Amino acid sequence: MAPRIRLYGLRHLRDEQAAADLVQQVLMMTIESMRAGKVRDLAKIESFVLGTCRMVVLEIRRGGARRERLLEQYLPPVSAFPEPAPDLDKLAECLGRLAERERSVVVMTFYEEHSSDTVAGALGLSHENIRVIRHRALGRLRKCMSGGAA
Amino acid sequence: MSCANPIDPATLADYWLAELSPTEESAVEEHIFSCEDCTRQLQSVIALAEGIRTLARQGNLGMVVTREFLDRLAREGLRAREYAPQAGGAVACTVTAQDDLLIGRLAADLTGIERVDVALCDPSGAERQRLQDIPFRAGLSEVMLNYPIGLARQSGPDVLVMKLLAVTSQGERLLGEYTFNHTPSA
Repeated sequence: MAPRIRLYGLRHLRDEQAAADLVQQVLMMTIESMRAGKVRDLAKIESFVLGTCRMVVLEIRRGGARRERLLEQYLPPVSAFPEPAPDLDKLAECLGRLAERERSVVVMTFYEEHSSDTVAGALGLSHENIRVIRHRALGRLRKCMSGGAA
Repeated sequence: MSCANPIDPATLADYWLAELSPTEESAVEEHIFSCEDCTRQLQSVIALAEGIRTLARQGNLGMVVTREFLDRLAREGLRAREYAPQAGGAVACTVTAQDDLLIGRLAADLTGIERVDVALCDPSGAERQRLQDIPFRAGLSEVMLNYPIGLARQSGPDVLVMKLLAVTSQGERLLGEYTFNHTPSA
């Protein structure tokens, strides 16, 4: 469950340390809730954890008061779950096989984690076109990275 | 056990980029929290994104870039060496150990142009490489190319001629020719 909480944290907080903090907080809150008998149906534990993630992130965004209290109360994060790094030489080769538009769109999108609108404006393409190009390029990249042709 | 209803990687990328509607986003999260396979897929999308970021920071991706993109890299402390020869002109260039990116700025009037190719040629005009159908924003008066800095570092003295070409169904027209006289850094 911890990797999923971390991914949720990365997605919504865009910060590795904050995501690691979220893992710690949510797991502790879940354990406390289970001890207190608040989680009666273990089959629904995933929904409970996701709901807790949403609540904690919302509170972090509201000013972080609860987060600060939790950070004081609980131990600092001890573990991260880094994604396995891709083979960069292979990735460079696969990016090189993309069409020019695909390469620019994919790199500028993921480098800056910009929305389609922002990249569209920068490259003179439409929002819809950017999404189509990005989806196609991602498919080619993944195929190439797994050993197929881009 | 594999997922019976896996989320498309493109949708996971949209999720990562915050481009889904709240309803779609909520559905993805509920699925992720109950699915190990799709969690791994999301991790691989994030890893791919991080790999792309690493390669971009290394300056080794030959690609069209924008001023906004270079400004972002500069804010992260990367140093870009830029050369901007006039159309029909030449510039002496090099790259040093302190440079992170090597940028060629090709000035041209792109008004009304639908497709642009960049031909990388030797001094005799023979094409070494062609970048087809590059992205460009109407109204700008230059194309910015990130040249792989690793290639430039390995290169001895060399002359590279870049040609901007407007391509139509009737053929192609030269928009500008730019000569880069490269010498290795001392």
